[in-house]
Amino acid sequence: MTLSSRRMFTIDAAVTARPLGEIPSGFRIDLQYNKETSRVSSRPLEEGAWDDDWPQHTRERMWKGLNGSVVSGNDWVTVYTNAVIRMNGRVTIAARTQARRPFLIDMLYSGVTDLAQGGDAKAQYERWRAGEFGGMTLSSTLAITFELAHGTESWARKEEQSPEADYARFARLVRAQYVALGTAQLGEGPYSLINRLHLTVHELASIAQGET
Amino acid sequence: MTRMTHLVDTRHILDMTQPHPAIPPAPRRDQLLDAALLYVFSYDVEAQLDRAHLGFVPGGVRINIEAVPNRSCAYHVLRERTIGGLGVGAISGKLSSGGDRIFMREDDVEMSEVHMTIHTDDGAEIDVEYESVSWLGPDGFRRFVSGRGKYGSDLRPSEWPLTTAPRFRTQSPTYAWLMNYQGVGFGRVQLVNSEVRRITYDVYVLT
Repeated sequence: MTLSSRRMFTIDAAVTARPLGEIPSGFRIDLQYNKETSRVSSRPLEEGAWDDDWPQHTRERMWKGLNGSVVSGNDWVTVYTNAVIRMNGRVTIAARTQARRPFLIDMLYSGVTDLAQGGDAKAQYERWRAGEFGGMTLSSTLAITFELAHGTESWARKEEQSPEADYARFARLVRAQYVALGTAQLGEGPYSLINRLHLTVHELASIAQGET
Repeated sequence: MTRMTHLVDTRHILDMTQPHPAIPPAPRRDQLLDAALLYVFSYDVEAQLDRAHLGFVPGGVRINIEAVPNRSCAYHVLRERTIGGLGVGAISGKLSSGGDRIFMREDDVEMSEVHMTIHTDDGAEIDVEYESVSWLGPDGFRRFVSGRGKYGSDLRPSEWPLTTAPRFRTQSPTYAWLMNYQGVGFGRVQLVNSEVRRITYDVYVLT
């Protein structure tokens, strides 16, 4: 069995970093997604027959892409003394749909950005603290799960109602494992704080031997 | 024996230069392990009215809310300048950020995942992370989600009790002692028209 992945959408987000300081294991930084300038887009939508493996008896097979914006997002980052940046974030995405109200999707992730870049980890951590990484772009890898509303109850107030069709459109996001590959851009100044994240989200799928 | 106080002398626990005090094993296990709660600070969170209602997810309803920055504050409820018995300064400041991921469960229990940061009056940052639990009362989930029979009004807000177990991280030497403890919090969530308006906690550490 081999793994394959499909590009689903890309998040491009300016983030505001707030350094909280040195803690026993490293350095804590809070990232806040800038909702005015963050974009979520599937364009160009990956074409192909890749809906065919989704159960035919449901309406949950269509993937028409995810385009929208970030309602809110935070990443509670720790830069460890071994030059590993651990990311731990949650982002609420407002997906554009045909309904008047956007469909909200929670994206929960954890991941790693390697500061060592093959060098001496401790020395690289000290270089990062000294702000010598300003302007660099580092690769980030994330594991992602999603949460989204499914159905409603007739007795529920309107804030809790969400159209079934919207769930059907995005249902595969809760039914598979996702990863993101992307970059973290570091700004100038002390601690070379992350100021932009560019993440491309992929769905993981397994291909049994003999299939293509 | 469990005791709750804000005046107990616990300086011996904080002396990290000394070896950890050996505790002789009890000859037989016929009593509860000793524990005490030491009051450290309180805080009020003003919830933003603009919140993200995701809607029905498996087992309940998901709502994300954020704190109104700088209108939410931390303080000593008795307005004392030090924490009784510890000889350390009281914690006072503003919440510079805070997010609460609320899960209203169908079995009338509310669970929250919270991250927040306290910016103290003397310029330190204290990172706080916790989950909390609250019972919504009989049929509380349905009442809350339906919007019928709303909880609380502007004139008479409703309050629910909630409990939590926060942990702390900070760079500040002044508040580094907080990282040596497990916190517990007893709180109240204030509801107006079934919307969370304010959350108040008294935070203790287990000693």
